[in-house]
Amino acid sequence: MSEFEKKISSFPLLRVENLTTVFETGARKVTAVDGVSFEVNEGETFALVGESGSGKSVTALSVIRLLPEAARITSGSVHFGKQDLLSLPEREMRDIRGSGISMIFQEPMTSLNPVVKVGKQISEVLIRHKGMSKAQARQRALDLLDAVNIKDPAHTIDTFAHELSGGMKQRVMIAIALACEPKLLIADEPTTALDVTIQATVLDLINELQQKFKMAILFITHDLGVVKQVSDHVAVMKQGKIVEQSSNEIFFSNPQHDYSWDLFSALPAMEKRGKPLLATNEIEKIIDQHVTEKDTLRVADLKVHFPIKKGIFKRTVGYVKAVDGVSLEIPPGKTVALVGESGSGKTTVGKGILRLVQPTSGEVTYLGLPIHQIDKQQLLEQRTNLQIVFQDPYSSMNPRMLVGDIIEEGMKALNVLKDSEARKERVLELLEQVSLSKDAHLRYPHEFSGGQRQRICIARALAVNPKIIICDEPTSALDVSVQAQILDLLNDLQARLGISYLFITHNMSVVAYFADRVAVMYQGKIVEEGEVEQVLTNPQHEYTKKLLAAVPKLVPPEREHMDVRI
Amino acid sequence: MFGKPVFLITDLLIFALVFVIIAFFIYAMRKPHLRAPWRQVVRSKAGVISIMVLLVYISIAILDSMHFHPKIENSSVEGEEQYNGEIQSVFDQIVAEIRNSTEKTYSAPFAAYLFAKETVQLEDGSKLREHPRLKWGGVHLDNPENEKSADILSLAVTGIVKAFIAWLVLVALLCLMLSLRTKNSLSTVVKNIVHGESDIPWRTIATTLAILLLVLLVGAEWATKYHVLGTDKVGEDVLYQALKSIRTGVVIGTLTTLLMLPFAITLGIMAGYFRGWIDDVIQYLYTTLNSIPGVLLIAAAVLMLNVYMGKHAEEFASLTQRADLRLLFLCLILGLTSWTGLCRLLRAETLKLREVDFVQAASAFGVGSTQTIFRHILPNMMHIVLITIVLDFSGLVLAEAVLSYINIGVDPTMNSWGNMINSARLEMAREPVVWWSLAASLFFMFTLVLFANLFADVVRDALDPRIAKQ
Repeated sequence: MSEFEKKISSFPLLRVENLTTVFETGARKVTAVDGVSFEVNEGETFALVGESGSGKSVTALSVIRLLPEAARITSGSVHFGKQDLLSLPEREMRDIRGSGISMIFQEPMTSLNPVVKVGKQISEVLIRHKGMSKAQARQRALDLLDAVNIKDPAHTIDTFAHELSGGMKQRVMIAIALACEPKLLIADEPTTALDVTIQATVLDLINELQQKFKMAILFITHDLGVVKQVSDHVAVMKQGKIVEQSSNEIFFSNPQHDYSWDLFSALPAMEKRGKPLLATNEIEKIIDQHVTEKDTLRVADLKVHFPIKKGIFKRTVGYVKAVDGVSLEIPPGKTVALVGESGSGKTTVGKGILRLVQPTSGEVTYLGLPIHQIDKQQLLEQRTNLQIVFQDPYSSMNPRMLVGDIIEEGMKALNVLKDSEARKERVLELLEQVSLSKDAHLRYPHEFSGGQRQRICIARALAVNPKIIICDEPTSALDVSVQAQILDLLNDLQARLGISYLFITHNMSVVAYFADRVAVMYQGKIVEEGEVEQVLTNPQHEYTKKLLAAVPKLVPPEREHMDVRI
Repeated sequence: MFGKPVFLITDLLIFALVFVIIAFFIYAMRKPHLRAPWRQVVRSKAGVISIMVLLVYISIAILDSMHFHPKIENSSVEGEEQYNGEIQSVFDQIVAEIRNSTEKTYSAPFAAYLFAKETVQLEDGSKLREHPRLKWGGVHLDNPENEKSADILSLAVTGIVKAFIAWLVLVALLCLMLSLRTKNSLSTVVKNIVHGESDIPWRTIATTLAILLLVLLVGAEWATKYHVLGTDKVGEDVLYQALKSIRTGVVIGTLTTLLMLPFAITLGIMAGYFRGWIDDVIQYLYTTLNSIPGVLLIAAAVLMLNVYMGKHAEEFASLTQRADLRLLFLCLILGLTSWTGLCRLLRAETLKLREVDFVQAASAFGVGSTQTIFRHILPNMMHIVLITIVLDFSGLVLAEAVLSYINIGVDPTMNSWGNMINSARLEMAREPVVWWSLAASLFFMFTLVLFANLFADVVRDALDPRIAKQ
């Protein structure tokens, strides 16, 4: 064997060198990927970590050459084995996609064609790349569905995408991706849209299939817990550049770059309770209110059923039991977390308490008032006490209104401050309270980032001096570092103003860090409730145990371990 | 100076519309989120070109909407002003020359002779069949056969020179204004325009202006001596008819949408916001309306109006007023049959918006329904309304032509492209064919509809949030 051949055989499976991808829109140029180099060896999992906008997905799309029109690769090279992917003609590239490299995407709902049976979508790939006959392809599709742990492949093969659950769809997507036994699988946030228990099974599946098919995986994610669990190598991306690259063990015991440390410190965890995540000053409890029994919000046996109507006369043929007998207590100045998977009815509980949806039955008592049945006028008065912050910071503000008007709206509607000058003053005060600049009140929501918008939403809720804020997944649309800022802010406000939160979330580490009590919700019912430490360390109910086991374990490294910093 | 002003109903509505548009633009200028899409419109080349062409049309329509009874000169009674019973518009005064230059019957564009042969009695008593000279077109020529082309050319040259001078003056004013506003030297401003380096495509604007001035001024120069587009059966100038038709087209295109908007917006939002039985009633209403063929409804309504006007002839002071009422009625009935589409769109959008978090947040603050609708829902679907208005405009102009063609459109005495096409039916059957009436109406209508569509495209791109703005 000549020296040259040896060199070839030692080539990594994928070698990306100095890759630069630029988005050009009109006169504006944005460098999304900026001189990125990395190697993925056969059979290993390489994780690309970063926050939104760091360029990790664009890197993957550049590798497989599926960039949007506005984007252009300006320099660098991508080698797949010996082949230079960037110089291949599109026709040959099509052969590599699917059979050499394949990809699974974040959103299983939209990556499957809704009008073609899933079996056909799998066999399509096989017929295209392997030249199989229809019957052969169908047989292979059955095998593949079996391989991705689908219980009844013979039935599933003839179903449409909408008949499958999110986890099943992602399995089908994986089956399509693996149909031609690719050497490299690019997984772009494959579990982000899934619930944590389903995420765990999908991750296990990917791991199992990797062993079986001996393929390499380029795993793109923002979730450090997932990275820890699946990866051999880790690369951290920030603003289009890879700032740190190392093996899993080194990265999770002793990260080198400051930015990696920031990511770790922004992670909420049980150990950090009572300490701010980012801020340096300690949280001080300023208000020590006189608290009475009446200040606790009590929810007893709350039910919200949505009728299913059919026919011309809209007869009610059944009910969707979104919330089916929930009892809760929110003590003053405390945080109660409501945890559950998507569809478990947690958002409806929040809206039911506020009567944004009318509860079917059950009681909500606060300050001695039956909130569930008081008349319009009394409810209006109580709206100053009970407020809500929504999940999506983009849709929760009217894009046509100035931020100042948005914050002022509640004060005006509820007559909190009658004098318009006083209201203006209060708006400025609130903006300062949520650490936004004062000139923000004359700007429009679209001028702000996601985290800043969430601050505005919090300021809007605070404007009417509420005693209880229902936070409906306020951080789940945000990056970890921004999430940390918002959690710090909420902690700080609680300490200063004595507000209680009903914190609706699916993120266990946020619960561990942030909440005092936790209620676990499953299919419209609360299955377990108690102090956070107790529930998280010693869960009683089967579902809680399953939920906790599914959360990827991640113990952030201690900063003292660090000896050399580059 | 002209006489006693008369305000027809459509005039008032047009002025109201112009006023509302101007008010909206002044308001929008102060709101950055409203200003942004319109900035995008004036920064696109197709946008400025179509705006300029449409402005020409609209100014003609507005001039043609200022009506009055002309003063009778040399009035018989001393010290008292007397007015003609006929209603004229400012535009009629401007083009008085071609308005009054009627011939006996058909004549071809730029002709000096009638189109048809006539028997003329010569001085010696003998009779001759020939094409007689026109009373007005090319009457200044002694020998049309030899002199006409040279004359047309020389008139064109005069027009070009005038257009060039006017263009220079306007562009100079523009440059001066720009240099004052941007505080750049005059030479840099000119250089930027020539190289096309400006946000607003001034170079495109200047070019379009040149073409428009050329067409207008050369046309005007010709029109002083010839029938540029010939004459029709009763010898009326076709160019004049086509120009007068502009108002009819614009009125139908704008007023119809204006009249249907209140229905569409109120009912659409009500159905989507309140749901329940209100939604049911409104949905049944528009489904029913939608299932009646539109043409049938329009025909029935117009025929009913005809009967009414025939029985109550004394209520109408003049033919013009009568025709105007019929025009308004046509707008009304067209509006009544066309609100359902927009209503459905708005209902769907409201259904979506009322579940959006910011509307939920407003109800968590106890904001009332009316306020929620006006503050949160209506402003967030104005883009749909605007896009529909502009898109519908060209469709309605065309609808007028079709309806007039089957005789249920505007009054036969009113100038409209539809009526011109209708009368061209017989002209097309003549041998040799009389093509200019049809060609003129098609050309004017085509230009208006083409630029309205281009404008609609640009507006949609600018306003539709689904088209990602980069």
